[in-house]
Amino acid sequence: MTGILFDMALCAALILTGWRVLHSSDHFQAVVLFITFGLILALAWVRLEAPDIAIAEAAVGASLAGVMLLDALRVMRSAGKEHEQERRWTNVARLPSFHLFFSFIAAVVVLVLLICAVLELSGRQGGLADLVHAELESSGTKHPVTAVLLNFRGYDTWIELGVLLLAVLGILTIRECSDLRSLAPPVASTIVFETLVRGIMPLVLLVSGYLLWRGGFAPGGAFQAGVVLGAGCILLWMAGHRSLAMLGDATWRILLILGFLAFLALGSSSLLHTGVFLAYDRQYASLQIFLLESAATLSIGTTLAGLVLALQPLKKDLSQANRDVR
Amino acid sequence: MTIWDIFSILFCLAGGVFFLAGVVGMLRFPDAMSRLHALTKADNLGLGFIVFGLCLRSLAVPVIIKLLLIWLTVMLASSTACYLVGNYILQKAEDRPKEN
Repeated sequence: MTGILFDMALCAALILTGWRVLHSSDHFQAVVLFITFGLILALAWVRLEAPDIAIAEAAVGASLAGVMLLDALRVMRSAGKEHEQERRWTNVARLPSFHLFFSFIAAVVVLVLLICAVLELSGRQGGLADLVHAELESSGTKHPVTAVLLNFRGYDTWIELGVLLLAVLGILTIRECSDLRSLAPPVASTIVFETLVRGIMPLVLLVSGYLLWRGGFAPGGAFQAGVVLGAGCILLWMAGHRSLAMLGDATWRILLILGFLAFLALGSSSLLHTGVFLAYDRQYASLQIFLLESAATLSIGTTLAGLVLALQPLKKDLSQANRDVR
Repeated sequence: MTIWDIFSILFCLAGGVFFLAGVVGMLRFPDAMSRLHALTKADNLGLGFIVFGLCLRSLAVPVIIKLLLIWLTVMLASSTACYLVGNYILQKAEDRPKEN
């Protein structure tokens, strides 16, 4: 009885916050409400007994997206930038018409492919849970979610890593830089926050490693571990440490691409050996999954932190601003 | 119902009262500083009472250690966040007369 009451309160809170996010007049208020919405949603996932998704939702949907939105607000509010953004957008609108035409054709092709894919799905009663549990023995891991993500549907996870990589590449292209070394040094923080981050960083590494290891038999895994790692990198930056911007060109690129590359390497080697892409050797499946997850953790952490850090002011922006002031 | 359960319920209720007071304070207090005060009280004492109540309920050492760790971590984070917000308010208050 209390469970149902709690769930109903949770649903009401979700709908109410969602409505407030869309209808609040103040941008800042909307962002804060969006973060609240993410946290309530995470609670809802816990109630649905999906702690994996709850961790991901709290970490990405609420925290990282919240930080990115707050950063976007800061950029929008700093006066000079507003015009620059406006100019950029009108540039996009003034693309040559054949560019727009090809974009339209590409969008239609993707839409048709997606519709075909949906039509081809076979409606299976009760989902695939029984099948997953039946095949769990041979998957090389003891946790069904990890088995699906890394074994049965490893292809999807691989493409997801590719999407994350593309997102970082997109932001870096717009910022016109290839790595984070061209970022202006972070603003020094107060000693209190610095001390907290100093104390919390070892814990961040410990929790990240624990989540990665735990993914083999219980809720956890590469994505959650990577998010914690990424959040640690962002905390370092906020405390005034150069964080990911310290990495040399080669290290930065390798870290970004490591997860994607590990999947690609394993997939192609299994393609050559067995003729099936991303088929694991039963004997070494758990080792292979662990290696893939470790590589993916590093890449996801770097990518997510990179997404936020790449939005920070660049050296050339600051020198430009100084010149404008003079 | 054992004596432990009764104490546990009492402590959890006390925690709930502190959270309620914190929420009311945040909504009704006039300025940011006093709102911060209300919020941190809810975080520290409210969560503290609830953690204590839950400890009495489980009475298993590993669970108690985990609960206390959660409380400590939240206190660390909330007090730092409170300091940062307070510091920001003070700095803004210092900057304002110069602008005018």
